[in-house]
Amino acid sequence: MAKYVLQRILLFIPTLFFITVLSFAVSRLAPGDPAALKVGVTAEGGITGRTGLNERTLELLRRQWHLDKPLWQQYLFWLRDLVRLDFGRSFQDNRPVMEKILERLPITLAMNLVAVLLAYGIAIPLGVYSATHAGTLGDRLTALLLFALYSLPTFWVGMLAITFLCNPEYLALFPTGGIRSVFASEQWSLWRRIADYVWHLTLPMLVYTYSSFAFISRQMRSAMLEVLRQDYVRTAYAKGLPERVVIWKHALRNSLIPIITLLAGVLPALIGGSVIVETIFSIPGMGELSFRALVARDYPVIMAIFTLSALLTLVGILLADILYAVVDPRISFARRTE
Amino acid sequence: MAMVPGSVEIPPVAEHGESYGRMVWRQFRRNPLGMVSLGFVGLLAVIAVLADFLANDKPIVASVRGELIFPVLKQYAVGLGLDSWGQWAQVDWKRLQYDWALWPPVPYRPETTDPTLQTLRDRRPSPKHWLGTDEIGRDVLAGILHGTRYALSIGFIAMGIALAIGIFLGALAGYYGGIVDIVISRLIELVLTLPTFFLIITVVAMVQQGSIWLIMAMIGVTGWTGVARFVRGEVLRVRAMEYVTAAQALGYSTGRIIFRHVLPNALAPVLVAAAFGIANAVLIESALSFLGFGVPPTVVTWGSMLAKARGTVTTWWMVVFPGMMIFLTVAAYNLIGDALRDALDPRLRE
Repeated sequence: MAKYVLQRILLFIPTLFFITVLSFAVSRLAPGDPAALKVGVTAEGGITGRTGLNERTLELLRRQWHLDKPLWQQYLFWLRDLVRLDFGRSFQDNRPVMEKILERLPITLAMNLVAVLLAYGIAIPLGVYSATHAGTLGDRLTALLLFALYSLPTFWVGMLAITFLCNPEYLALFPTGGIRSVFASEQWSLWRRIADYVWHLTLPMLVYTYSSFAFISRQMRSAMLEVLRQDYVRTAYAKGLPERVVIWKHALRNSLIPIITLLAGVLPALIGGSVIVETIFSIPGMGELSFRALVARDYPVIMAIFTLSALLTLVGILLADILYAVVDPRISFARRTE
Repeated sequence: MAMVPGSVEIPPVAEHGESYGRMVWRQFRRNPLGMVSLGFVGLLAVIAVLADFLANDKPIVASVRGELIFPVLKQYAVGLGLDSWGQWAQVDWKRLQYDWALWPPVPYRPETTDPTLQTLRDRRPSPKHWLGTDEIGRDVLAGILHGTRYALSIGFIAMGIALAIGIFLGALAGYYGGIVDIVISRLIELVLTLPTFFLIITVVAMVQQGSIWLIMAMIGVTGWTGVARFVRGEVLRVRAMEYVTAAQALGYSTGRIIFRHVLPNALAPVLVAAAFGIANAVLIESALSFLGFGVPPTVVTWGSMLAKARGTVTTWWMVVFPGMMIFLTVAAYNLIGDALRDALDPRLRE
């Protein structure tokens, strides 16, 4: 097991290298030179145009950011800063990028965690139900519902929710955004504060979760059906085990294998989705931060978030690999993938 | 083989002399949802082709002072540089005195603003603007009809790029195996680990002048992995077959064997990946446009119309109609993918 994990981690080193090179390359896509951009921003409302002062500032900034060195050296400097988690300062308010991100990270991580737990928590029983009741009316209705959910664009559902459920003109069941009431106070009891969070986050979480949940349920159903066809399941039935034990103990474990690897695909989808959901519902998380940064072309922030989310995805995939080995002992016995 | 209602279903075995394609098509036809979806995409294609005749601020055909004119056709001719507007250059088509005129069902272009609308109430769906207008008076239905062009072309072009890359790399990996396979498989894994949506959004935002072509290219360049995996697996399978060995024994070139003998038998499952890929491309483009990073502001796509509804919560028609079109289109492609997969699945065919 330890050997397998180590092997997976070693395999990630080239991937890591590729991602850093790609991030660096994307950061160079920005038109013009970042130093000029920076001066342009700071000089806003004051001196514009290329005065002597601006030229000197440019010179200094270029040296400070190593823009006067060859590309590969720039990359190495960038990599050194990356390892130190130093992403420079935001163009918008000159605060360290990492500080801005750390402020926003907890809420997005918490939402991701809840989303993954919710998605799997509902998808697994639902998938098992559909598979064991394959062909019945219940299964067909579930399939249709899941299919519709799977094809519904997140941003549309979010907009519909805001328009019809958070709107005094129709139904004002939920607040239009934020994560707590503006009038929330420290004096509120713990329960009241939790209730306030739940009230604010119900819709965003639903919108955030439903498509991964629908996707996982569909996969769970087919994985379970596949397992139920196996000989060992028939054997379990034949020796007189109750259906509950056969399904939840014998069949479930094997049907989970393909589901767990889906985590590797669900995580990047969630990271992309957070930009949309947090923007629609004005949730002050990483997604909303990146949206603002993208609108303002705040390159240091954009690049930091891009690199970090690629790294997070990588960690997610590693996690899926390890879990894969936990549920399927065959994997860790030095079987080469594919 | 007509199916009599209530008759026993005949197991779908290949009839003598029936080609593989025909057999798959026969299977596909049995799936009603798949057929409806195919019909819907066909309808979208017709709308896309005829958009200028369905929603336009000029009459299709009219007679002015005894002269017969075809303004919509003339628009194409001028667009192609074959003709010029001449005396019609400054004409306000809405105010012209016609002997008679045949107008398109929606007498607006997606860019035309209707200045007569003053209040929010005027912009609601009404007999004048069936699906309402946006905040500067552009007709929603005209936008939806013309947006069909973008929705279709984005799906097909982005997926075309992905197919080209995926088939090429997948075939190489599957046919040669060994080191080529290892390198390509690693590349597939690498691309799979990328947060695709975020990568596309970052690149589109970074390259300041975002265009529809850049978006299509980005979706294609990041979306080929599924196709490559399919093709690789299929080519691996087909390559071991005797007829390929026979082709090799006959001394055919490797290129000919791959493209003429191996690929045609490996392509069917790729269609499934392509259908899902198109659905995904449509979703990504509309999500980008929704966030405001997609097409330039002058271009009206379904996603950019939906984006207009952001910020104001009272314009429900701007939310419901364009979003419904995105949903239906994505669902149709997904259903086609599902139906194709079922039609290709040999286990269902006994």
